[in-house]
Amino acid sequence: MSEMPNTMKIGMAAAFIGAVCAFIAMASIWTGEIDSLGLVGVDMAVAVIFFGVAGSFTSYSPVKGTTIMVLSAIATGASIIGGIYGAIPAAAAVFLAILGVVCILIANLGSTRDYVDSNRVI
Amino acid sequence: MVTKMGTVPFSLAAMIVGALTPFAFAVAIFSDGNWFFDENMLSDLGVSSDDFARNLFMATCIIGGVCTAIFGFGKLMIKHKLDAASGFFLVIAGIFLIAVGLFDKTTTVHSISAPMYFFMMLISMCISLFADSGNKRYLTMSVTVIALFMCFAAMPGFTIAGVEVISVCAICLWMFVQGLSLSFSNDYNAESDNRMVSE
Repeated sequence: MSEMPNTMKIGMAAAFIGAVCAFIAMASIWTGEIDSLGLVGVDMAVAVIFFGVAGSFTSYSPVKGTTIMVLSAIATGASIIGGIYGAIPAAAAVFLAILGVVCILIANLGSTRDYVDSNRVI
Repeated sequence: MVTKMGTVPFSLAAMIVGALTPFAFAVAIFSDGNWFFDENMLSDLGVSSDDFARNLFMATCIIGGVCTAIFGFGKLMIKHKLDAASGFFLVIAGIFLIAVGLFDKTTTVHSISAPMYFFMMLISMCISLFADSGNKRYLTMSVTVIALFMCFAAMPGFTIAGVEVISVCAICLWMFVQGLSLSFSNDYNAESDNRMVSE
């Protein structure tokens, strides 16, 4: 099995940072009242998608290389929408969107796609 | 990757729509002063009491519609199969956007044209998604996914007025990237240029 490209490790790190940021936003938006659950759910969705992207940038990725791009695109879109909803602070939403774009660019690299497509388990 | 001169006018038309439309709408909103996100439709700017806001909105819609139609026509002529189909629906969407600019929201034509514009854009974006995927233009495909996700994810939390604004922003982003994609496309067919000249 060939060695995992370093760019994939950067992508994994970026996605993990995004997921942690979304978790922090989720914790900060929770007010203890039932009305805040909707916004908590939006943040949770963003965090879960970013964790999914991070998991895709590993050895034995469960998805195709192009699917990582789609997942990263959804994470980016979810970050922007989270910012518009007010679930994520504006600066954090921009930061998350940038991390999402970084993930898209890394997933678009030929080395990433070749590695993922040749090593994925499904 | 080399920019193909034959595609530049059409690409520029798309990039003008993508870059200038949100800017022009923002100026119109600030000029109007009584327009609020998620409460007012963009079409309310067309019947604004402020002359500058009203004229700017109408002019932007007409110019944007013409540019959309030009870009769609270019895509239709230059590209093939699904890409050409996407261009065809862009031409129709452009015509509807021109109608939105010509008739204000008090008219029946406007109330038909505005939803039809978004519907045609949705069809064009969906076709473009498959075309980009099939032609391995994954970056462009990603932007289409982001734009479509933003449009649909906004629906549960906002009224139709808010969704309209978010959709317009998403469409402008998509148009800009599509313009860039057409300009740098690898599957550009120079024969179509010659065919257009000879015709």
